[in-house]
Amino acid sequence: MEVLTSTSGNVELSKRRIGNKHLQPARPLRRLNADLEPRRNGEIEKMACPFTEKTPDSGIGVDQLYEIIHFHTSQGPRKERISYSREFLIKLASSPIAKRKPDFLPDHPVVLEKPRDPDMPVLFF
Amino acid sequence: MMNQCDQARDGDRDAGDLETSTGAREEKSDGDGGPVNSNNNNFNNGRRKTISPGAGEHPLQYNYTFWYSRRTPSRPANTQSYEQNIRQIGTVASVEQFWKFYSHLVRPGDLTGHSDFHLFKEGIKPMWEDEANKNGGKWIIRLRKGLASRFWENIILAMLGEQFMVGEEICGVVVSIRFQEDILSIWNKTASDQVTTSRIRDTLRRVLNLPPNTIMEYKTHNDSLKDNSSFRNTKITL
Repeated sequence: MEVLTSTSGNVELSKRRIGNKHLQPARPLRRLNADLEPRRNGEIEKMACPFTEKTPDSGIGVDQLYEIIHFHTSQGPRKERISYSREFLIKLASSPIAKRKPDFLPDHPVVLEKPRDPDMPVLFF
Repeated sequence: MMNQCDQARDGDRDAGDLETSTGAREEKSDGDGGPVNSNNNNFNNGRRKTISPGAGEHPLQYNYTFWYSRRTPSRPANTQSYEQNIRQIGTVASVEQFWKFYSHLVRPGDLTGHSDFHLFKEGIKPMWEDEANKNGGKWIIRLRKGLASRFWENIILAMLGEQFMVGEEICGVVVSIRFQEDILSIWNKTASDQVTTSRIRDTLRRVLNLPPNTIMEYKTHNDSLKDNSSFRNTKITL
């Protein structure tokens, strides 16, 4: 059970990471594919070998699986905590995205239609 | 600067909103806790979808959920009323998402009546009985009127920015608007962990820029359950 809960925690975390990677341009990948084009036949031949040998589940053994799980659970990004200074957070408050209305906001007396201005002068302290 | 009120411990502090003075002592006298029951409507009105940072946004160490609660003066408080009066507003996973919600919420200093904003780690209900809170407690800082909005923002930013350096200990923060004062609280998981609680206290002094003579009070949620109050009978430190 413990392993299960900790890995599911990690799935969530790794999703976050993937989310950030969407930012990277996809073009270099396409270029790689293009380069591979002339050699495609050769690749297929190489790829065919494992299948003819009929070793199902040859990918990961139980030991390896545990190794992978251990790797992920011991290396969670929780150890390097994501911290921000007050000044940095306040700087981000003025970015246009931070002033957009959230997609899901309940209709409620404390909820405003338009964003209010930042409360306080940054130089107060 | 701070409300150095001796009368703070006279036992009727957080029950004393005049709007509901009759029978206030018997009522659940404050807004940040109450018995859990199975009527969970208000807790489940948010989407169950996983919240994650958008592309290019600055992720937070934890997701946080905004809550709002208000005591309804007309109805006498009972065991269910706290849970029924507390409402989820939204959950954020990034700095940008936080600002979106925050900028679309009324300033706490502009609220009237007996009401509270809560910002808690996702999955932790702002209730004494929650699994994450049941062994915990909170630091309390009483503010004179007019300071709540600024202090609320600063305590939130310190929490989101992971300034407390106490591992997983922080559960959430609350600003409580009351009749003659406003109260800032920060909840942690383990009330008996003195290293943690004193580190939280010292960090609070720093990030809120509190004068050295500011009174800070600590109260375990267990004690709150016993006397059914948030802000009475606290332990004082200077």
